[in-house]
Amino acid sequence: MIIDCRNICRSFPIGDSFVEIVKNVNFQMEEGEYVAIMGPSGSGKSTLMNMLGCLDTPTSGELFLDGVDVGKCTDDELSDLRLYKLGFVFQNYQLLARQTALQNVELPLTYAKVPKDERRERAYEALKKVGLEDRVNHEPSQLSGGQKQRVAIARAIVNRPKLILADEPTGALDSTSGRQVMELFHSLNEEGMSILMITHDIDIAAHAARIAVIRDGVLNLNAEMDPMIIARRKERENGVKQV
Amino acid sequence: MNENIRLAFQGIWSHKLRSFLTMLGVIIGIASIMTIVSLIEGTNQRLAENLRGRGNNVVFIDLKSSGSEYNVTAGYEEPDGLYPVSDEIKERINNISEVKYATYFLKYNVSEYDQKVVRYNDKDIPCDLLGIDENYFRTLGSVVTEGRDFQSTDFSRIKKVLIINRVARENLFGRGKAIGEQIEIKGDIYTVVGVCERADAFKPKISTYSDYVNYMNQDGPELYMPKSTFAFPFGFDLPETCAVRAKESDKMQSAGVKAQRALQTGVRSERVYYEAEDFSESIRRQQEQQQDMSNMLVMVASIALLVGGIGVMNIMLVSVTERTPEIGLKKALGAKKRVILLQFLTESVVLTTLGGVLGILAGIGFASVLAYISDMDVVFPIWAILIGFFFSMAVGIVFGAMPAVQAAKLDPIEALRRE
Repeated sequence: MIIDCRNICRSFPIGDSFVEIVKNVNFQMEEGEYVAIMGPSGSGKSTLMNMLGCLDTPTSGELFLDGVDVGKCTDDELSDLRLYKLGFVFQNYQLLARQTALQNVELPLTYAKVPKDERRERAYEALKKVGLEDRVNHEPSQLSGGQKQRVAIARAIVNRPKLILADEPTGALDSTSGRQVMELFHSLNEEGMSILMITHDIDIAAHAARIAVIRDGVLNLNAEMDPMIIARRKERENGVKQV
Repeated sequence: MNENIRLAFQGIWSHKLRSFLTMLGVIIGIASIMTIVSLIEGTNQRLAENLRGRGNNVVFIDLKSSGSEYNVTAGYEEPDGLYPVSDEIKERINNISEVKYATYFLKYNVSEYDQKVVRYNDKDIPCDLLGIDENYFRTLGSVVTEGRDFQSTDFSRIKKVLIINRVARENLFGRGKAIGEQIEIKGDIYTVVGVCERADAFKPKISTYSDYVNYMNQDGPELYMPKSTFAFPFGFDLPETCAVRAKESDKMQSAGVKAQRALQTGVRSERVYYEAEDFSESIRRQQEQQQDMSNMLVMVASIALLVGGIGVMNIMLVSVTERTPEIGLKKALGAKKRVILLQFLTESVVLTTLGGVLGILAGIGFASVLAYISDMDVVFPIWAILIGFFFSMAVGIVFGAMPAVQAAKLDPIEALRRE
């Protein structure tokens, strides 16, 4: 099991009281699965994602990532989890300006203390895999949105993680680039990579094998019954423009 | 680490003006310290060299009178119990291992008020009159540049011949002919046969007023005659003074003291004693004065460096704020706290060290120009360069620590959200 959440809660202090953003989430994900989590803004999906990404820790409950109890990890061990087991893909790419595509992809490898030559080679391979072998020396400003996101995906997979965490990966892309990214996720998933994606776009979510919906901090694993999904379905059938 | 240094240079390069202005404080601080130290070192070295006669290593062992600071010279008094320096004592002084040459001479100071002692063109000439042996010029590092040196017959036949020094030559004859000119001493006619001056290597370098005051008065007009002739006008050949040349500069002190002891054995009087001049004391005194001044200047320059350091800290804090999303991303990608810490610390250290190197170069340049303009000596001690280098590095560490810690402590979620 790659993700195993047991009753995890996360609350934040606001004024004198605590507000619970994520409530008693139980969620399991097997290795090689492709899951989408949907939810409106403020639903707690980012908070959940941050915990799954080891950037934040639950206030209560237990979270196991690939068998590791995240709650018992030190700062450095959390860094190592992020470095070796997780790959992040962000909505706004988060590439370093003034660094070439290759240097951006090499970044996690430098933290893993991979020797320089091997670093070059592996970064190049990753860029090849996302179809950007002819853009290795381009800086982000010279790349289109879709290309930037593919560089970011190359960076996410370069250290051979177990799980890709994608936060609105197509949020800033046009539909053609979005489709390319989804195709890329598909082929990665077919190679056995686990992918967990957050989106509010039903079409994008539909690419995943399993959809869960989070609403007011409560995760509903049976998404087909969720009112939001039903409403969205209806909107699409009526040809209403998606938000 | 290399990666960090590369990133640091890239960061500095991408904000050229900002980085330069940030470094300016460090550059000015290090440059002024460098300039001060170089000039002070140069001055100190010249002081030492000039006091030692630029390496001629001569120590005078003068005869002093108890209870007075004045040297006992020929003519003023002739205390009982003084004898010419015996061959046995000369032999002992020659055998002192530190001594290269030794000379024994008589000296009579002709003051402005002395009348009819030394006359030329019907004018009284104040000067020092010396009766010297054949080792005198060799010991003091002088050479005869016009005419001839004394010959053995001048000594043995008690000839009335004179060698004069450069100052006396200029005072008496200006640019005119000197050799063959006749000078009247106590009514007798003496013929100038030679002009001597200090060998180039031993000339003090005079460029500032204090150099002038320190060394010019050592070089008054001097007239030399053979020692055997000296008794002729003055009627005495006592007391003898001695000068020795040490083999090396740092042996001067012991050579002087040993010669002084040997000479003292020939004195049968309570009233007089031989004393070797002590250079180390006067050198040290002058150098201490210089040191006091340089300490103060360095303190002032350190304030510039402190201000520079605060500037660096300020700009690093700005940089951390600016790059918060980048830091968040790096942490999300798996960078540990110390990696972030090291990255920012490297950047500030590279910044200040670069400033330090530029400051050292600027200081060397500035000191050289200053030295050239004002004809001062300048020495760039390697320790000063190293101190400048490591000091600027330390400024980077000290003032870069706080921003770096702040960067390392950033919460990745907060950091990523900001944009």
